[in-house]
Amino acid sequence: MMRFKHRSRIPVICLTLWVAGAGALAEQGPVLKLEELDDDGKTTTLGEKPLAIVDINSEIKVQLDSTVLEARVTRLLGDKAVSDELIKKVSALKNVSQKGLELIGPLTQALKQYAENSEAPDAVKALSRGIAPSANAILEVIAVAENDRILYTRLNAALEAIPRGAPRTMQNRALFEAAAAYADELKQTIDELLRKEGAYVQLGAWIIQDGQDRPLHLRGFDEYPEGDFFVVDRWTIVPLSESQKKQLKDAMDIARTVNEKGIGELFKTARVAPGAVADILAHAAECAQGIEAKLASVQTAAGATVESIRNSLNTAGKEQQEYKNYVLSLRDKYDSVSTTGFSSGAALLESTYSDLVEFQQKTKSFVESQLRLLNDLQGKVEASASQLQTAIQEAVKVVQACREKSLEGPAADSIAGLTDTLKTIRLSQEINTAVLEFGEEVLKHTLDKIPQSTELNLKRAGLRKAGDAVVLKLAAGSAQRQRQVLEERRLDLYRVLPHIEMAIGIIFADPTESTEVESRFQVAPSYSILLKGFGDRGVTYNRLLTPGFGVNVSALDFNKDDTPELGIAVVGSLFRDYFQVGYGYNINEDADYWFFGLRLPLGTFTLPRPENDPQP
Amino acid sequence: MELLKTTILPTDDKRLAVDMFRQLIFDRPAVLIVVRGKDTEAETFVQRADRLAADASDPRWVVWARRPEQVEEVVQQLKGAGNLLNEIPTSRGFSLSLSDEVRDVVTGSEPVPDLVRVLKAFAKAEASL
Repeated sequence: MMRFKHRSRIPVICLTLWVAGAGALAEQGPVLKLEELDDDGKTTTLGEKPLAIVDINSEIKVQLDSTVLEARVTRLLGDKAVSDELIKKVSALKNVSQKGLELIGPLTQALKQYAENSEAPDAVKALSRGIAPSANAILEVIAVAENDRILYTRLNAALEAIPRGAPRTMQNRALFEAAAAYADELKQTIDELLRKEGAYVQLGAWIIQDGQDRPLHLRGFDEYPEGDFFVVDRWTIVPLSESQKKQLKDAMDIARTVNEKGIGELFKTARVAPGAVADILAHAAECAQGIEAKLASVQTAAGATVESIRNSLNTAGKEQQEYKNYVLSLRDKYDSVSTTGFSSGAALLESTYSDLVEFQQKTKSFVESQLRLLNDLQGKVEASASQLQTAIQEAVKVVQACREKSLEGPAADSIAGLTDTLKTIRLSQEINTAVLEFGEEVLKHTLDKIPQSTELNLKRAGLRKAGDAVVLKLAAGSAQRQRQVLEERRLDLYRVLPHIEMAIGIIFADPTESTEVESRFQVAPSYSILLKGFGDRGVTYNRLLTPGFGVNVSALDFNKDDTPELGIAVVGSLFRDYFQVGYGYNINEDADYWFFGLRLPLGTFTLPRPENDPQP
Repeated sequence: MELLKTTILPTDDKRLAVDMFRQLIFDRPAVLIVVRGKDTEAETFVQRADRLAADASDPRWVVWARRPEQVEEVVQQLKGAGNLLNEIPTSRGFSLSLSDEVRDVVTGSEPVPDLVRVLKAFAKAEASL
């Protein structure tokens, strides 16, 4: 009989003897295997990189590699009873036995052909080719069995049961079925051990939009409802939205100003952005100081009152001081923005964007907390203490006014305009995946019950736009061990497939013949209808280059009569439409022109400014 | 002993044994297991190999050389990896591919081959290199 490198009596004991050695192989590759099925019916494998670009309307097929998953979970849970090598063996046996059984058909065919026509030229070669795959599979099974006495004995027994003179397909079937049955037994034993540990696995998905996240439904993995069905339209040229009309009007104003006062005005206007942030912060600082004064009045009116009132006032005062210090330091930063050491324009934009988002969140939280504390205080104060009541009411009014000034109305518009613009200019979202938490709705699966696949239909992710991101997180834990993340994948959503986009901006038109235009260029508002998205899934391509070509329509005034003339041009666009170039025809004036165009961050250029603020 | 797919080489006529052996190897396309020796262990090996040689139409076949020294001159003409060929004189037997190449040797130090070991010898002779 064969000699064995390892001897064991029963499978469970066997499990404990397998020490991790070559086990690292079982962990190779990701657990999650993703495929994108796009709207054009094309399937793309998304590879193993943590970040991939997908089309905004695609469906993502998610497959879980159970072998890698088991290896990761056991390693994570530190269960030495189940080694990586054992998991690898189970996987190898399952795969090879399945392959061996599938090869029985071709093997039968090869043997039959040879038996019927063994004299044919190349008959031996064909036979050799026909029997080799099965033989290879047999050798793989035997190689595993040579290190596993139980399996070896089972294979011998299976072969013993085959009668002499029976076709070899019977041998193969018996051999591979015995191997598959043994693999199943081992798998059940592993599952049982992990079940005793209380091991579980969770898979969650989130969409991240403008720094906000919301969970997405994954069939079989959570109890979230399906999201709203929304298709990002690819081919419809929709009429200009209200926002686009406003952008066009802004472009018109800028064009008029530049045509009247020269190109220098454009650069003056461009300096508005940091100044506008400083304005918002100046208002907020005034508010914080106003609240401070009112809280001091409440404190005076309260005098040596009961402890609970003093405590509430102290809390309100402490929060107010923290907020004031935060706002003042931010204000100082933007007052001296020209001298602040931003390493680049990109750094300034990144910083401004995150500052504004943080400012909005902190202000909202501060105002709500102050109102809650003051209302709470009002409940504690007796109605007879009229002076204190009045002081509290005045403080409430000041806080409410601050809310209006900082978070509502024009200020909110300004912040929204700025953040929108900055968000557009930034190349990608920074996502802190650590804050994405599994909700109660995400199911905890044991390894033997976990679905092997699911899908994420992005059209069911509700309203979304290019630059949004989807994050998939796979985690495992047990009764004794806290949940830990096994794998994370991020998918950035872009309009990868061919589609039409509209870009609004200004063009600098240079007539090719003599017109009334005095300077070389005439600035005119315009919009371009661009064909974009040529299937490239590269990061740089989708985040930065985004080339397109199409038609540009502009409102020119070559004869300087203040009546717009229609210009139609062919246009090429690059760098997310920030730069365009083309050649066109002024229909009214019968004049050709070439032009370059800029898509302006219009929200930034049209911020309201305080009346007493000097122009930059 | 019932053997369905085994050729037993004669022990009393060396010339005939060599001719038969040569014909089985070189003239007839077959996946062969050659068993060497005449003791009971060799007999067990033959029975097991014959059992896995499958049905009549299958190209697997077994040759039992009870006096292996008689066919030594033919064995010396065989192709195969050097270490395998060197082990043949002291072996229990060996397997040959359809292209008459020695692919596996059951060495003398191995136990009597069980069915899994015999299948391995056949499979090695049939596998792609």
